[in-house]
Amino acid sequence: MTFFPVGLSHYLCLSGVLFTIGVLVVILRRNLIVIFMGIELMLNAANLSIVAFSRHLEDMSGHVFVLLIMTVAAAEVAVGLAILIALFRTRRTINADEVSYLRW
Amino acid sequence: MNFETAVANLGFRDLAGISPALNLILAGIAILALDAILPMRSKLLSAWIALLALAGSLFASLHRLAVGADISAFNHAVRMDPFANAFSAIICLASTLAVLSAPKYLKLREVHLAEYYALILFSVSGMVLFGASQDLLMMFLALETMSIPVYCLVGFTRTNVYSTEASMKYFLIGAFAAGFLVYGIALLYGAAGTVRIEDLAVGLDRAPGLFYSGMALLLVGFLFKIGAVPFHMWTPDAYEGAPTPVTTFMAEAVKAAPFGGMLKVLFVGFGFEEAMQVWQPVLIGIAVLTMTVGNLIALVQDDVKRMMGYSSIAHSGYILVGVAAAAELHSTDALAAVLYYLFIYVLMNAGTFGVLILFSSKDKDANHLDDLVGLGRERPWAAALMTVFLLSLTGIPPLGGFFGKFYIFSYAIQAGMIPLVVIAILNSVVSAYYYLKVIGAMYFREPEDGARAVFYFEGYSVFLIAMLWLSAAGVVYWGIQSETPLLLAEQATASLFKPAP
Repeated sequence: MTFFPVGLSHYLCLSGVLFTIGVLVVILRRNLIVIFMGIELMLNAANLSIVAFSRHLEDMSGHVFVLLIMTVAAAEVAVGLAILIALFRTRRTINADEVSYLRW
Repeated sequence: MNFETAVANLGFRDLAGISPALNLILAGIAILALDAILPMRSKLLSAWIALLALAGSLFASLHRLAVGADISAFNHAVRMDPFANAFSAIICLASTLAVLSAPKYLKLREVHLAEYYALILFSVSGMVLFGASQDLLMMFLALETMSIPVYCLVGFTRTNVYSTEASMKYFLIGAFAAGFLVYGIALLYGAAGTVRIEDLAVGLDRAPGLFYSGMALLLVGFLFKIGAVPFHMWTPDAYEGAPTPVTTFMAEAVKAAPFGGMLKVLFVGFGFEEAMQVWQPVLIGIAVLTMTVGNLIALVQDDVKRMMGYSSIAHSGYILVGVAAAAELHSTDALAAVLYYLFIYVLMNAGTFGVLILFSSKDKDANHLDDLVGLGRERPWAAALMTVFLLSLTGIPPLGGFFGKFYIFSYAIQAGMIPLVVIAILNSVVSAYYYLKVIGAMYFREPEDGARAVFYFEGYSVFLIAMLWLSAAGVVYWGIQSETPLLLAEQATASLFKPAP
């Protein structure tokens, strides 16, 4: 008995909202770690819609895509955090506005 | 095909099919192992291993291109057709030049580590697969394999404030772009029910809204990677902050590689009439913006590396003109002009950065215009080489850069895009100002205090000299003999529309 049938469009709306929040976080927040989280949110929004589509299309390959994308996201954030540490060691800050020696 | 047969079909044929990429991955792993076993001796040895692996991939790709081999591997996820082989050859050539430029600079900065070469090889393997991938997921994986090592390479001098900052900026923007790309892939998957590039067109009938938004997001992702305006912000920062050999690598290989996947997606995936009517005008607009903004900001730069960053943005614009013309004409020969342009662009950019590396000393880089004042009198050969590269970048007749622009613009005229060509030629004229400014500094300016400028070859490197002369010879020779590479490029692009074997 489904009290509230959750369908493809709900998942897509949620995924769209998550993606938008991710983009806004990257654009508006200044703490680099929070910006990383925004990027992860964007990737996971994509994952959510891939899984929803995969279920809707009854095509199993979508599940595999998600696993691969998660692996890549993990590798990417590992490198990102390493760069963050190198940055912090030279600059003593992780505020994006203060990291601005290179301009024009 | 069910799962068991799919697995049983994977085997030696697939691995042999992607051998140009596999070769690089194996060499990269060998370098890391060697570094663990022989940490004291591994540095120059790994440079040699990297060069051998790259040369092997280069000749394998050229050989396959010449015989017209067309191999599908991994259940049609990868297709090493002449198009992919041509891109692989361009990229391997670019990376060979980048590796040749590295040892001297890294030794001076005391970061001559074996990992550098391993990272370059891993990145190049991603680039080779990028142009060869036949489905969007493979393309995403190849793109990340290509990008992640470059994020590390940009921050390779990790105690340097500029290097780490550039690395951070490049990483953030790259990951941000990857987010758009993945979301685009997700939407296209939903529309078409598949991620195979050839079958994407199905999505337009099934779900046009999803299809177009997916296409837009995918394009945004690609435009970030090629550094087109308004997605160009990372280019000058990353170019200026990165160690110069890494800038060399970025300005040639990392620049050329995204075009491989982009052309494939645009012309194979979205190559049908309805979609082309949407992306082609957008691309024309972006080409105009990219050329103009890149050239205008380059005018006011005093730092040659940063100026070259903006110049590389402008060159993306010229290349996009060629892409738009090819779409208008439905002609693979016009795409061949784009390939030829990329080939020449790799050579002339490598040379320009090579000269900057040549005069970088232990304490400082020779990046500023003032650092080159008096070079013409003190080091005539180096100044002459630099002049050749800069004139080629401007597009002065007997050199490769001229013919690259000439072919692209003449196809654009054939396509009836006269206003676009006028804008592009005006932009070339504007660009002459800042390239000639460097030549002027080398030959016609005196040091301000009247003293003789001193240029030491600190840390003399045969590799670097070889790289400079090779790229200069290439720019001159392949400019005059432009038919041979163009003919190969035409064979390569013709395969883009042939069905996979």
